[in-house]
Amino acid sequence: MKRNWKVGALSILGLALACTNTASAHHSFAAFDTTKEITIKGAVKVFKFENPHVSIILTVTDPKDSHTTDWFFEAASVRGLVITGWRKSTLKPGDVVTLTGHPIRDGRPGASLMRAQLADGTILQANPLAIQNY
Amino acid sequence: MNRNSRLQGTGGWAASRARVCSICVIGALASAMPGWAFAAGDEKLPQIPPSTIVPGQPLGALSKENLAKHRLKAPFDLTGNWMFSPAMNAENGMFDYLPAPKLTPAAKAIYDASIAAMTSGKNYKNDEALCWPAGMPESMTRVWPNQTIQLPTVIIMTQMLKHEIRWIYLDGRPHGDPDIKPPSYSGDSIGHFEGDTLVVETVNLQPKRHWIMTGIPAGPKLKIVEKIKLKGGGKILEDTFTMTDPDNWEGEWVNTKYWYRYDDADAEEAFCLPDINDNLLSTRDESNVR
Repeated sequence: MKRNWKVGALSILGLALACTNTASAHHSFAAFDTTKEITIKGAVKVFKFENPHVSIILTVTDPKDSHTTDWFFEAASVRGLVITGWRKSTLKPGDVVTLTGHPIRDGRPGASLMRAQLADGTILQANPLAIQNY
Repeated sequence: MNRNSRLQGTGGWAASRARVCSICVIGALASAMPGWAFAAGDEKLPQIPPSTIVPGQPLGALSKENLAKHRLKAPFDLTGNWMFSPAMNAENGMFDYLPAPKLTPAAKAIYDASIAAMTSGKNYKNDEALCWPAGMPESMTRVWPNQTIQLPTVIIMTQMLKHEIRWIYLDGRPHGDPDIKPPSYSGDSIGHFEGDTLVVETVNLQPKRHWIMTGIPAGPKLKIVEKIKLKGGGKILEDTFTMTDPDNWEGEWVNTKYWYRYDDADAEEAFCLPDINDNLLSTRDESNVR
């Protein structure tokens, strides 16, 4: 994929989970590196508030050359997010948000969503690994 | 003014002829439409088709006749929503069934390939993400509630994810004849109570793209015996699986899982739709080894 995504922060964390074979819903999350966090700021392109996984496509614009990249974030189920405060009305196309997640291992612009910081500063948790016990 | 009111005004022969004609027309229509008949009174009801019972096969588990048969009272009622909890199952493999048994050489080759895939950050034959059923026993360990209804003749379990359904028959029937009952992802489950335990035997499972856990397939000879108990004052469901499949592993593969009674919300719709993976990079081909 093309380079220079506007990455706010990339930090290596300790091993978040002892188990790596977590298949929280309809698919495994083995493709995501749970030892890393990545934070991306961009504009919401798509917000699918549906089961089995809520998903967000975030368009990130490189200020240097205005090149845009779509980032794909996979979250927990509707119910899983509702209990942490998410609603269908939480995001709409064009909203600027900051998303944090575990990046996909192969380097494509994607991640499992852990949390979101909305434009007004509100932080909503969304980590499917953390809230799958609901 | 309609035809009837006009005829009412004429009286005599004309009215009689009209009534006779009407009866003839209605009779002709009724005879031409074999699906319809007249019940007592004037109410028109559809005719019930003839019985389709196959000789030797059990009466439907939801039939009133079957439900009304005298049976011993079940020692417990599983009716409710049961949530699979990863935290409650951290020591038994969580979604997987660990420790795994000693695999046959053919099965071990598949399992090793799955480990290699996951070690490289890929999913291995992630059929469930492509909308193939999880099937037994994996369908029991999805994180969303398993909506269970227990009747005297059958326990009906519907897993929220993809709405996979299983029927555990309690009415004393034997396993279905595989000659007329094809293999299925939930299999053919027959249950009975032994004291405070529900014992369920499941056979005739569909092996196509069916996995017990990643890297270990559900073969055509798979047999699952479950011992189900209610514990913790009825708030915890314990299910001990004993699985045998000589094609894939040696001896018995035993694993105990736990669920908790979930009263906080109802299950929701969660079909596996054709566009389900449009926004999910982790389920696309690049993230999968086949």
